[in-house]
Amino acid sequence: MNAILTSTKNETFKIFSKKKYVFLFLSSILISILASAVNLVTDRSLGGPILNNATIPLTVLNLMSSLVLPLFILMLTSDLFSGEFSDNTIIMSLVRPITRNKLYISKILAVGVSIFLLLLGTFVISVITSFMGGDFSSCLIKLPSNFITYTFAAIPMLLIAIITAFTAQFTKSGSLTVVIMILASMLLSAVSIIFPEIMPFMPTSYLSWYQNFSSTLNFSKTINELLYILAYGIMFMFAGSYMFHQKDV
Amino acid sequence: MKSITGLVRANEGTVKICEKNISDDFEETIVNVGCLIENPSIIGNMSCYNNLKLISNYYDKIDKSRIDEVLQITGLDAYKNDKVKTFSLGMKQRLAIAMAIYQKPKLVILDEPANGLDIEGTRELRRIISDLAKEFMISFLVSSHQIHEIEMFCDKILIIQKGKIIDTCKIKIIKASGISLEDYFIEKMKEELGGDLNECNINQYKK
Repeated sequence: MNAILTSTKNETFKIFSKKKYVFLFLSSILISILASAVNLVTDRSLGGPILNNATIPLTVLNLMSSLVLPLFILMLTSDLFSGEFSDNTIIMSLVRPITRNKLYISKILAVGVSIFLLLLGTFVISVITSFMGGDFSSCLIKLPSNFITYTFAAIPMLLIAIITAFTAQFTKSGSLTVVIMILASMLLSAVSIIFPEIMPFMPTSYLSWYQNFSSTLNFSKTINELLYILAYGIMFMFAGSYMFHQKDV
Repeated sequence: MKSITGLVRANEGTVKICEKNISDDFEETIVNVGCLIENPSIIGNMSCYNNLKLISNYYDKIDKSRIDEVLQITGLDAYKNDKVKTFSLGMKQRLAIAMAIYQKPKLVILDEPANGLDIEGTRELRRIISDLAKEFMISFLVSSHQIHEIEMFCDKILIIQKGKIIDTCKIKIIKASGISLEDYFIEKMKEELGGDLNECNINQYKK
């Protein structure tokens, strides 16, 4: 357990020491600021906001989780796996007192920590902006449910990281992994449109699972979808860590 | 060397280091091993100190002051805050050695350590390895095609042909017999391959 924690700390340190991720992190935060600011601007020019102030955090979250966050996760995860194999830096961790399975888990956890921090940053900014638009009471009422929604948004995002890590085991190039993942998600979406009956079995169907918490909670639907996410997560996690363990460097 | 460090899986046989089997308990066994395999495995956009700090986290029993100690041993203390990507190959090799000896290992594996180094760099590397072996009683397992290098700082050699050990011998015994290590090597290869070495090599190449 100690080795996993140490390695998670190391991997997180590696992520935040790379300028491109700090830039990506800050630009993601900037997008959330811009999306939130749109509401305030429209408030003045059109005489009323397009959105209700209290729903700004959710609108920003939907925007982030539909494009920015998945892209951030794809780049981050592929770099931690195939990227390290391509520039040989993986050897630095592989010859240390940590087994490959623990190293694999800690890399996924480090991506999880980054996702959580990014979501937290986005939440804080969107909440501040929603308060700036006035209507404090409805903003305050929505605050706990918005926080819960943001927290649970990390779960489907972590599933993307786990699937990307699995895909990364087939390549030795970070950019190739990103391209494969984008093509695969497009293919899955196309298949879901052509054959709607297989939609419940597609992992891409559950990426907006967190939205269950933003409206009246349908308990059985939420649990059912969570089980699908967990099942996919466990399958890809085991398959990925097995391949990582068997991989010759 | 990659099998010893667990980077590739061995087709057959077992690897035991300090009486411990690497496939049974990797974490406990690898603690005693430091290595530099192929190119130095270091993170270019981090400082020299941070690269060492990153690996130091894996060894909680060793005090962090060891980082400064290994930097001093390898002569990198003046560059500890410099980004590694600005380093020359020789400096990168020295940092990789610093990382390999951080945990006070009993065995250090170096794969072609003088590859791409200039004359001063090679000499400096030789000095560091000799000092570490003498002062800290670390065993070094070095692979090299530079036979004169090997002759200068190794105690014992192992000649491997197609994955098979064809001879082991102490350097001082070879020197006492009055022949150079190069001649000894050629002789052993001839014995192994049979007949004229050049002819054998050409035939091997043709195959």
